[in-house]
Amino acid sequence: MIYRNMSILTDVTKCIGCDRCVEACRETNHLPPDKPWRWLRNITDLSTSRWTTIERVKSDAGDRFARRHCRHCLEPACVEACIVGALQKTPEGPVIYDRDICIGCRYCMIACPFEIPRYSWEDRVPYVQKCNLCYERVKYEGKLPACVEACPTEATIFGEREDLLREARRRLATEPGKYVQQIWGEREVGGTSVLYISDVDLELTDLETKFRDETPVPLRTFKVLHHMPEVFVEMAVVMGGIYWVIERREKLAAERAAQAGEERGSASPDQEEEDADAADSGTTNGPKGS
Amino acid sequence: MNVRTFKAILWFLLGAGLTVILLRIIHGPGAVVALTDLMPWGLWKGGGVVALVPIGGAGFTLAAFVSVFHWKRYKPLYLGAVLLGLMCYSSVGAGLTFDIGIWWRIVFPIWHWQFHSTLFEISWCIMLYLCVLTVEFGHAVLEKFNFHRTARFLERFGIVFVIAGICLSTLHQSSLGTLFLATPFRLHPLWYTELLPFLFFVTSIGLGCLTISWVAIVVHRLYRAEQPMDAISGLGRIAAFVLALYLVVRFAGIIATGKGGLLFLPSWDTANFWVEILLSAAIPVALLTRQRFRESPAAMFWITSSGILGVSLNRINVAGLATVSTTNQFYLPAWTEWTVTFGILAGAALVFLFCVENFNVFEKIDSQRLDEVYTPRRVDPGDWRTIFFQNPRADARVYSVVLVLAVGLILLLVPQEAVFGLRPEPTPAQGPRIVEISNGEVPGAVGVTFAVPLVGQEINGAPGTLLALMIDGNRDGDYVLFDHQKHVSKQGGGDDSCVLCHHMQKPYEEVSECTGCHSDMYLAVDIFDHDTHVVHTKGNQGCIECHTDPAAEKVRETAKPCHECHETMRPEGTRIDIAEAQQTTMAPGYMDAMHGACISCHQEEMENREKTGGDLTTDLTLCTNCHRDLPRLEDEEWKARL
Repeated sequence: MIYRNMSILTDVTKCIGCDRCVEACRETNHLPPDKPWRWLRNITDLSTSRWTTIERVKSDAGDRFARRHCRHCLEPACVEACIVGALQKTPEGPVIYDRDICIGCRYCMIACPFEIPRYSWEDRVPYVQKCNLCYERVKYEGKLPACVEACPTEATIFGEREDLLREARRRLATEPGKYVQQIWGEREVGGTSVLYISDVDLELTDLETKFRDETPVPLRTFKVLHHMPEVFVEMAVVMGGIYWVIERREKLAAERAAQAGEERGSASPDQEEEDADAADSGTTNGPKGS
Repeated sequence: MNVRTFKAILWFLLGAGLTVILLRIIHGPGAVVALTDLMPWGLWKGGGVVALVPIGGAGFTLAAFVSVFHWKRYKPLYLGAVLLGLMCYSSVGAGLTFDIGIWWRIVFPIWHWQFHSTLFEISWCIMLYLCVLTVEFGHAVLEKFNFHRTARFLERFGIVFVIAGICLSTLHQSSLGTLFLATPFRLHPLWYTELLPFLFFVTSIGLGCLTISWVAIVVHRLYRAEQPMDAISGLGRIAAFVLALYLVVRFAGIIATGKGGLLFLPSWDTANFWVEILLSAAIPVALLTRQRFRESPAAMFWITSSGILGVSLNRINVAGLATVSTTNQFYLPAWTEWTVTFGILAGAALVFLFCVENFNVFEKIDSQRLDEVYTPRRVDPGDWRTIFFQNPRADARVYSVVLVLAVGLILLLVPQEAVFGLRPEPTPAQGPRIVEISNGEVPGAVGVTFAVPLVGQEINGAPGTLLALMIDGNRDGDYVLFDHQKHVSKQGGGDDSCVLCHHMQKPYEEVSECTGCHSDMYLAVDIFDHDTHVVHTKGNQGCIECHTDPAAEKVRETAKPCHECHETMRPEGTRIDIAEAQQTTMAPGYMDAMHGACISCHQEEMENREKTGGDLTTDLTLCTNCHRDLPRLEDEEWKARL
């Protein structure tokens, strides 16, 4: 099946925190067992061995479980940031990673508004690690993403983004008292392919960007970056122009001095030239003395 | 300071840095850095790249002043500035190579193009600018070796290279700011502004003036030459203008975007901001307006030091320090990271001094000066120290000794993981505590419900309560209440019921407790003590007792199984088959062991019940059957109860 925008909708009210998605992900993507590395605050944090994990969301109404993994943004900051294009937004939606060209600059980790990419610091040749929405499994094997397939309560479902948005809106409409009237991922940083609905507020959790803004991150940098060719040319023209003008003025001054020298026929030309230089630097040299 | 001593220190730092770089190549960056997933850029990026590039800005600043604007007053510092730029950018390249995860892929941006990436643009600009700097400085080298015709040929196109260098610098100096436009979520609002590219460019000009002045002052002092104060004071004046402009724009930006309130909000970040502003611009601008200060080498030394520190702090703040409070990730560079940064800088400084001594970079430091600085010292035949340290060839010897010493010292001092590779951190598992629980019906929770956890000595045996084991191996407050008595009676209650679960009787122990072998929460632990076995089998003659096949390799796998000697170690009738485990003598982590022991038995029991029509109301296979929603107890609470 051809997808236009592979997406996942997670209903926080249905998640029981059983970790089966985590185990399914580990098995499908051949991830190593969890180990307590120095840089992990908690062994169940997102890590090399966990491309998805269950976060406990504390709220007044009691604790909730929410599955955290790559949000597969519609305009992904990591893809824009990647220096060699190792991260790519596929036409079907998932953001995938090519480990054969990644140089390990870790700019994607800095740029990601959801703090998703992890680094396998423990390896001698480390790579960036993140969910790929089981891209090849879904595209070539026609299966569901491993986590969705493993979910026993259908808390996390897979489909086209428009369909899932419609489904989310339907759920919000049918049980307005239960849900917070918001679909997380609909508009943040330009929209994400991974959507959440919940009966508690997900704001200020790790699932939410800390900076509520709907501007896609790539716009922030590219807005400046796409002016760079112009800046280069303008700078070259300005510098070249200044150089040409001053060079010419000095040449003329030297000629005049030479003429004056000939007329007077006394002072040596070398002496004259130095004087002219000094005078010239005095005029063009804005700040001089005080 | 004496040039010789100074160089010896640089060689020491270089040796130390190279050693850590070697370890980093062998074991990967994780072994020598203190970075985390949420703070993935540290000293090597913030200090070694983002802060070092504007320091190298001296090159394009002076090139513009001298070659384009024809301000001949700065000519004496021109070649020094180009060399400073060359050294800074080379250091940036070297630092970046070892900062990125896969160092040999540093060249990948040359053919893997990604035009939307700021980093891609910066890497190309830096590569090209390094070429430009090499050509600009190469002129001096060519002259030195009498390649006059080539030198003149380069000279004819000199202005093209100069202007290309200026344009490339404009691009990458500002793009370093653009880089952090992608981090509105991380960067503190006092630093995050759309003006970052402009601010970075402006400060790089101001800093360029300051750094070449600083370097000129220090190097001339080192060789006891007279400082070119005319050029330096002029640069100080320009720097004052540029930094004042920076101050105005920076504050205007902050106030215009409505962040003015943050300026006086008492917080760590505000203090950091003001220190940065004072050091980078306020103090230099205020002092540089005084001609008396501008013409005094000592005053200029302190003013430029302040400016360099301040602007570097600005870059380090943007690259990481000002994200500490927003990301709530504290990161302190490991000393091994400092060693590499200083090592690379020391290497660059050594090359710089070499060029100063050989390519007539500064007019005043000529061969006469060098002869005076490097006067041959007196050698007293009766004193071995003078023979060793003061003979005419001693310098190279001293530098070599210092370099080797540094390598040795670093290898002695580095943490174990830098030498042997990274290991997961151990989490010692602790045995369960005895608590008193009440066995009552509570809606929603069938079976045992949590009452008051009491510690051993407080148990009073009140009616309706019973004792349970509180299993919390890593003492993180999440625990399972295990009704030991109930499990014993389920297994028949006889003496032989213990061994069903307690599958190991270590020598001299009747029943070994779980944490005796499964002593780490997550990691498998080696429980075989080779040394003790060597002693008990009478040293080297005893190898054959376990390694029975003399032809086989003497490893764990080919040795005699433990239970052939320790007949009682694995009791009869145990549920947990450890035949294989015993052979490898690795005990799985505590959590895995507990899950392995409980879950298999629970599944078996449920299958039995289904077959025999037993009680099916409680599903023993559910996680929540054991992991109940019980109140968490933090360690402090426990300590209070004890």
